[in-house]
Amino acid sequence: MPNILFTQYCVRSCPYCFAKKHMSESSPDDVLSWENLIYLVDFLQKSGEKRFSILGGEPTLHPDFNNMVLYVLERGLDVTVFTSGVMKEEKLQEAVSFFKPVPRERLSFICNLNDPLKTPSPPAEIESVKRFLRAFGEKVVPGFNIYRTDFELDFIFQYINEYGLQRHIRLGIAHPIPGRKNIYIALDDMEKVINRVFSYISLFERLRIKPGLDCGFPMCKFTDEQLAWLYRYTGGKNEFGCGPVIDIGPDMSVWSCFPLSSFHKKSIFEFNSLKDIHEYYMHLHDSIRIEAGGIFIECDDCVFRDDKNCHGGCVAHSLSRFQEEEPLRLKEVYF
Amino acid sequence: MNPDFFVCPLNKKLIRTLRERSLVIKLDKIQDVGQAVALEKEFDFHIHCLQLETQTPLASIPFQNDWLDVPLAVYTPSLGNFFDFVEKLPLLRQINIRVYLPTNKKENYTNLQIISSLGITSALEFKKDYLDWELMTDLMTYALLPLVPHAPIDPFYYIANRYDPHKRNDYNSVYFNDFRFYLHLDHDGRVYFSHDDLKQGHYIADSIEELNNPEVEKELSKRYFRWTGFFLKTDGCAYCPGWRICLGKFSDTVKSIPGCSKFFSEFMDVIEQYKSIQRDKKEVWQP
Repeated sequence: MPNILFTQYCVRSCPYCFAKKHMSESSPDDVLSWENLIYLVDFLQKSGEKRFSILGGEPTLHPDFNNMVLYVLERGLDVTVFTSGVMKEEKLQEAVSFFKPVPRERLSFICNLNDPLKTPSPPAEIESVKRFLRAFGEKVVPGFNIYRTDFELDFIFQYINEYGLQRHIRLGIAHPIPGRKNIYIALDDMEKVINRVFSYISLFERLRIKPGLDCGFPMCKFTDEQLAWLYRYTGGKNEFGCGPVIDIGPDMSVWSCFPLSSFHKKSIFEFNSLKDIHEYYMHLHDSIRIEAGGIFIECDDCVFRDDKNCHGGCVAHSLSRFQEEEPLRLKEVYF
Repeated sequence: MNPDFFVCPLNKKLIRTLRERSLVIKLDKIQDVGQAVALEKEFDFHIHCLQLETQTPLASIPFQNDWLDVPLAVYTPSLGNFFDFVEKLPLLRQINIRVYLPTNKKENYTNLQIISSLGITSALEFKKDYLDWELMTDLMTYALLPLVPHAPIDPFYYIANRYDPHKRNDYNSVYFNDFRFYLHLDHDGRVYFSHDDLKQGHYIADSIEELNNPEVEKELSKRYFRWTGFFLKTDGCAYCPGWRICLGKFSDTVKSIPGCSKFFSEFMDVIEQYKSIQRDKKEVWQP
């Protein structure tokens, strides 16, 4: 499912932000136009997609956000919105009046939450997020991006109970952005991060909340016991993948995913279907993996990677490494 | 002369005299729809269409469930509040309606795409002093070469389905303004060739009964061959490849708003593509 960027600016400045590079290279005035939205809905429907995933910047800052979401729903696509939850009160009220009756299977929000203590935000921003969570509770899946090893998840458990959010936490891991300095989890710290997540097992179970792993977690850094628990508790729904997500900008440019936003950027008009775009970027991912099987040296000979049970972590790590070496590799792996 | 349709105002006295005719009744209030339908039951005529010209945005027009079978041509200035429009969509999709939006608001080029993509048949109303040929090209391409099916947008769809490269292709019927099929009546029953003639008071007959008068026939013939006048001049339209569709409709704005020639030439290319797609569609035998 590709992500469509409604805007290219955000009200927050999270230290781990993987959209930072892309947004710094874009104009904040670039917002998705109605003409482009109509084309994208047509394009996705032609490609057989059933869902429409909305991203930013902060997508709710789009002046026509509510109407556009309404339009996509009317076109018969189900919608997922990735948001910080920071919304002006007036706009939030309008959104509530528009979307409250829409079932959560048709419209859901993945709200990326920051720990108020470890990643402090202005009080007004925190209040705004709470207002959003209160308004859309059961439609919201909380998301959390891990960019330091001493993170805490307690506040999310509290939010889930307080605001009746979906009992699922989407856990992302901060990856490097090739060509840009950002805060991310170093390879040596992967294990610490995973162990920290698993230190919350008792709370996950007690509160009946399921963890969901976003892309780029390397399977080898989990113990067999941890993998067994994940399998038992989530029904084997977690993958250890890294592949083209496909992000589409307001100017109809296309790229593989945010950390790779400058890597072989194309225009959607160069493709006939989503499958074509996916194949194009899959080929590039494969080229990267020919040069480096995964983020660790052991990935090259890993039987689980051969079987595609693990994709060998996020390719952004490999691309960042290639940048710092002599350019002797396949030409596709360079920007 | 016996045209297919008469375009007339909602005037009981006049309509009473139009038995067995097919009428386009002009309304300026949506509330008059009920009255027009009632007249059809009272007198023996057929409603071809009710032409509503309103300043109310589409989203604010109070459409009603009991109009499902009434053919409506709604000329409205804009789409209006999007949420209200979406609320009305289930009903609008059932109503026999074509929505006309004018070119004097740029957003209407996009609004027509929105309306059409949501399943409502629509049409662009040309306002001569407000034409954006680039936006018109985008709309025309969207209308005829869509990625996924959507409701027709006229006059593009109308022309594309009737286009003959060896003939003149007139789309005035979309606006009830082609005198071969539509004649206009005023409250007193006087007959006019077109909407513009009606506005200027240039009538051709005092009543329908006079339409077979040889003088009217002569006037008709003169009107019919008026197009030849373009080719007596050695500028502009006489050399334009797009004339086969435009028929000189924009000759008076070609200098102030250039671009019509390029648009209509491109239109013809797109029609060829459209026709070739239609030809390539496999159709199985029909029982």
